[in-house]
Amino acid sequence: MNCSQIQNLLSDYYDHELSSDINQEMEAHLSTCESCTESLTAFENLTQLTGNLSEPVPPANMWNELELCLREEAGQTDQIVSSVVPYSRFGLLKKYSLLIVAATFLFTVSIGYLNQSKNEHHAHHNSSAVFKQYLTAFENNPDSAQQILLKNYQNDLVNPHQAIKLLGYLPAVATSLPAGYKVEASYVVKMPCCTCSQTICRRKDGSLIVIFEHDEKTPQWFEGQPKKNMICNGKRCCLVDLDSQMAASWQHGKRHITVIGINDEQEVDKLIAWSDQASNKS
Amino acid sequence: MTSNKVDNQIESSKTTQVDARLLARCLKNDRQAQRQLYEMTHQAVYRLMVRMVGLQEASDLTQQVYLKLFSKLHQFAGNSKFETWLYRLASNEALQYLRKNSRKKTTTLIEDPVNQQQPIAERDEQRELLGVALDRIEPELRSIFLLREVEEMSYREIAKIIDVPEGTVGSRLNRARRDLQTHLLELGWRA
Ligand SMILES: [Zn+2]
Repeated sequence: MNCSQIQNLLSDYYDHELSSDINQEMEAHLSTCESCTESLTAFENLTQLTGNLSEPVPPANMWNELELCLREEAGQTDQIVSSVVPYSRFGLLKKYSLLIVAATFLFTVSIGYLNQSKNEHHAHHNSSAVFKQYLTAFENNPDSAQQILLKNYQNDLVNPHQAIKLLGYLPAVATSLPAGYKVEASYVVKMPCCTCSQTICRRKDGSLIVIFEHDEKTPQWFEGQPKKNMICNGKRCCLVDLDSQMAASWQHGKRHITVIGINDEQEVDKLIAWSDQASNKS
Repeated sequence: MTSNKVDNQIESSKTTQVDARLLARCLKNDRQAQRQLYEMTHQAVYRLMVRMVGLQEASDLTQQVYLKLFSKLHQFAGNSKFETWLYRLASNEALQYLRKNSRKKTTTLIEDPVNQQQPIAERDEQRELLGVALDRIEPELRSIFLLREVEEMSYREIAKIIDVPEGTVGSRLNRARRDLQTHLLELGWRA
C-alpha cells in the first residue's frame, strides 16, 4: 500500500476496525513511513485532548420540567396549572417559570400524598421480610428487586452529590467510586432503620452491586442468613452468604456500609479499601 | 495500540444497558419507569448535546429528545440496541437544531464547577481550544467525532446512528480529525 491508501484507512486502523491482514499491512507501512506515523500520532494527541474534556453536569431540575411536559402531553395538566398559564408547549418551558413553580408545588403535594398512603399500606411490613424479598429477587433480577424496595419505602432518586440535602452527609459514593464500577442510579431510601443512601453500580462486565450507606447497624436485613465476622483489609466486616453471591457490611466512620451482590472476598477487600479512601477524602 | 477489535466492541457504549422489561413499562406510560430510563441514560444525551450545540441549549434539547423518545417508543423495533436508537434521536435533534440555527454560532465551551481539584491553567486552555475547534467543523463531522471519541461507539453503531453506510464512517472520521487538527493548529495548539 502507498501513503495515500494508508491515509485513507488511517481512522479505520486507529479505531481497530480493520481485518487482521490489512491491519498487518498497515503496521508494516507505518513501521517505515515517518509521515504516516506522524498522522497517526496526531490522532492520538486528539484523543488525549478529548479525554481531558470535563463531564458536563446536567441541571437538577431537568426531569421535573420534562415530567411537566409529559403530563401536559398526556392531558393530565391539573386545574391549578392551567389556570396559571392557559397552554404551553415544551419549547417554551423556560419562559413559563411560573408554571414550573406551580407544578413543582403540585408534585410535592402529590408525592406527599402518595407517601402517606404507602406508609399506611405497608406499616405492617417488617423490614426483614421486605429486605429478604429484595435479596432473593436481587440475584436473579436486580431490576425487580429494586422495585420491591421502591414500592415499600419512601425514596428519592438523587444525584449522589445532592444526596447531602436529604441525608445530612455526603455518601461515600459521591466522593469517588471503586475503580471499575459506574453509578447506575442513586437513591435516598427511608427504611425503618434509618434513611439510607442506596447506589446501584455496574461492573465492567455489566453485572450489578448495590452499595448502601446507613446510620444504624442493620442486622435485621440479613435475619436467618448464614453470617461470618472477618477482618478484611484490616477492618472488621460481616459477610453474609447469599445463594450465589455475598453481602458484606462494615463500619464506615460514624456510619455503616453494606454492599449486596459481591462476588468474592477479594471484592470485599477492594470495596473496603475504596471506602477508607473515600472517608479520607471527605 | 495493542487492543483489538473485540475489546473495542465490548466496551463500545458509555450508557448502561436498558432492558426490554423497563421499555415495556415505559410504553405503558409508567412514569416511574420513564424516570428510571431517563436517569439511566440522560447523562450521555446531555453530554452529547453540550458538545454539539453548547451549554445554553443543551438541557432544552435533551428534554426534547426524551419527549420524542417516549412518544416514539412504540417505533423502537428492538432489533438494534436501545442505546443506538437513543443516540440516533439525540444526534438528529442536535443536527436539526443546528441546521435551523446555522447562522448562530454556538460554543461548546464547558464550565465545570465540580472538577476543580486540579486547576491546571494550561490544560484548561487546551480544553477550550478543542471546544472552539469542534464548533468550527461541520456539525455532521462533529457528531461522528463525538460518537467515536467520547461515546466510544463502534463504526457499526455510528453507521446506524447517523444513517450512513458502515464503510464510510472511517473516511468521515479521517475528515473530522484532520479538520479538527487544522483548526487546533490555527488556534495555537501544541500537542
Ligand atoms: Zn506513508
